[in-house]
Amino acid sequence: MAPRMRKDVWKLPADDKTLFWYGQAIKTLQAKPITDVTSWWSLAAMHGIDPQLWIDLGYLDPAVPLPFPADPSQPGFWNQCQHGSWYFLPWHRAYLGAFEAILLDTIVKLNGPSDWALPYWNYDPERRGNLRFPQPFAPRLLDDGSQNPLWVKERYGRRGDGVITVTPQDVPLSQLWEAPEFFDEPNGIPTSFGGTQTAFHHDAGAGAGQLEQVPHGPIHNLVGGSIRNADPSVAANNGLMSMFETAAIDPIFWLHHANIDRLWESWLKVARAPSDPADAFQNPDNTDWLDQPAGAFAMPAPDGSTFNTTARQVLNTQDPSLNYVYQELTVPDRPSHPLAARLRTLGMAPSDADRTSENFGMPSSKTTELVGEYGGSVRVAGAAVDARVQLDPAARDKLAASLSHKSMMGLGPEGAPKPPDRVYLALENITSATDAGVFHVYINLPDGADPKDFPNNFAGVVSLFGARAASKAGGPHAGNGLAQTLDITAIVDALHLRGALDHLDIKFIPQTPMSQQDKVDVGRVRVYRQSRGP
Amino acid sequence: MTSRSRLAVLTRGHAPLLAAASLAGWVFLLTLDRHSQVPICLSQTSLDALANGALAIALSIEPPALVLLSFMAMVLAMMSPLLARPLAHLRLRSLTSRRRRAAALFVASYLAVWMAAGLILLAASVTLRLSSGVIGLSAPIISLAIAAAWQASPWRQRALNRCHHLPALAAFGAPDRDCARFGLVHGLWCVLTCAPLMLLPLSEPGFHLPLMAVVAAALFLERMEPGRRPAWTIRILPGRTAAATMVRSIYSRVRHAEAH
Repeated sequence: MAPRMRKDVWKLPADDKTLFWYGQAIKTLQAKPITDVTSWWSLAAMHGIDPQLWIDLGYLDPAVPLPFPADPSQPGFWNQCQHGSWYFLPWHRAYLGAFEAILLDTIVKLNGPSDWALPYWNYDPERRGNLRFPQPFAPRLLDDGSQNPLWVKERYGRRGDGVITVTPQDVPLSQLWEAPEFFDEPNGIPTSFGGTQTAFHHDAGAGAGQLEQVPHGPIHNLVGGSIRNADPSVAANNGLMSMFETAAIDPIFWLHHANIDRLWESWLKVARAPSDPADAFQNPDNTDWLDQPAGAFAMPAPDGSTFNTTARQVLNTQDPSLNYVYQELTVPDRPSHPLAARLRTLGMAPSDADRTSENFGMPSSKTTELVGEYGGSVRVAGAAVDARVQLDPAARDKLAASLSHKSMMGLGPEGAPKPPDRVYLALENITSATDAGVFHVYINLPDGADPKDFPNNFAGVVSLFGARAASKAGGPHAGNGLAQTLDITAIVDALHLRGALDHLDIKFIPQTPMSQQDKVDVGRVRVYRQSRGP
Repeated sequence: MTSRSRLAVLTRGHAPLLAAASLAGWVFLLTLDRHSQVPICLSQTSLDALANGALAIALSIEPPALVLLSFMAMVLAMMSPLLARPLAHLRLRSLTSRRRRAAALFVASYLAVWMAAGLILLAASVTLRLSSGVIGLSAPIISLAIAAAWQASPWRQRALNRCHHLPALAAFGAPDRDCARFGLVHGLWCVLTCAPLMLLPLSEPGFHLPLMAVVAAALFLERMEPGRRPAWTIRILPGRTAAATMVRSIYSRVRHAEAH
């Protein structure tokens, strides 16, 4: 059977029934009790469930005995979602695959199309119209006055008023194509696409890869958001999409994650350049990732049985067990020698830049070195907060040397042509009392300037999705909080050219309401240089 | 898909130094063991002397310096492998010129906590062995019971979770203070997590080294597991999940290699 096509929700024709059948299946699955592994409720609980919270929100009947342990800190069949880990992408693919198979089975039984596939919300920052919240999910009632199955009450949006807005800066994608490696080894700063090599664990931690960090996190929080009211429970004030324990109850969750899965497929299509590492833009062949010796992914089947699967078994989306393709992949045009453009930016003559970039060999090692830091933690609240990162003169000189033509052309002390360092802003020990929060980060923004006028100073976006659990000192994550790494290479190149690489003034600009009570702290702000060598 | 060298992980950062420190600890204890009993487990003669209040005799049989030295060797042998993660954290958060100094400060303060704990552990093991006759249970059985009760408790899990804490460290300003404090705090949680298990080899001189090896392996494996919510548990065997994972991981690798 030909693979089914997961379609772009913005490209569905006016008379298309994909979302109609999605709604019909939701109604059927929501009518099933949570004790049924194919019910909407059990499917959502697999991602995460906090029974008391679900009861408070009206999504769980306290009288029903639960079929599985439901303690969020004890992962089992429920509370299984993988975040802050290299298992994030394969686990969610297996999860979406099992979900889609159950919906397809339901739709076929309702006499719907046998080629139905989950659509995706393509919030492409280059296409402004795509950043709107998909309209069919917004109204509470349908035209006939019945309840819209695609609607949930707890979507509080950016400002807590239920208005969902996403800007291009909330969901940048360019950093994904600058992260050639799938995973980071433990103890590094996370710069990879797919996450840090970790054990199989529920809850977030410091090991989220670039795709999990952005656009995954901000979309969760900009849809879910939180409301400000008198309820002392942070969780009860959060929107469904803002928490692991409730996110998958919201029907938009599945379209969001289909897009994340699509971006993974897109990344695999990026062409490897000669100066990229050997495993660039490829999935790991590490058996600890492929076969998950720490525990396979447990999934439900349409007949109510359960089965185990692994990353290895979900790598090919056209395998009969998954059987889908995407209507469109987002693959950037990449020159055969992508570093040539950067060398030109760094002031090298075009002919020299082309020739030099061709001389860079395949790197087999990378070294990461601390260049500077802000000497304290930063409480992010109010309109904006500033922090000045001091650079260590010796480390800064090494960074500047790597950006010099001499070093790049192989005329330096090391002899061989050496690609210029990449530079990262590492935000570590990000702790928070809430999960619902997004802030933007700018570098050297002039005083009083409107950030919109300075896109070149934009370093990135940070979301607090998963921060609450990761902030508990005695908890499983030891209070280490989240970590996020922003690629600031282009900004540093520009500063270097202006001779202004002395310190970096970082500005944190909350995009969602953040008060002192939310205790959003960035424990450390550091700058690293990363060099690759033969 | 292409491979990354797995050997690289073993030769990077502090791993070779930690392996050497652990090995040195084992060699020292093995050498002592061949000549006499490991001094940290006081001999029966010393114990009898202590029981009779003849401290001077006990001290002459087991010189305090040698007792402390052998305890330090025990800590180095068992705990060095557990320090790879905090030291890697420290390394990446220190300026290159300060990396060695930072590691040295961390290790020195970590060891200081263990040496202080050693005095308490030594006193505890002596008390256990002296009182075992009175209670009617052998010292290893009592220490096993203490370790098992501690393993089952939420407090131990809380301490173990805190062993995974990687604090914010200053690179400028007062980096020495932060490194030393990291070593002290990490050492404290490490002692709380591991010390009751360390009583086991200390209370059975005849099997000191084999018991030490078993406990060291279990603690090493346990440190590889993700944290859990603190709660009473009957799953008290440390490292059993990581051991099972490791076996499956090796099996999977071998099968994968055969397929190619």
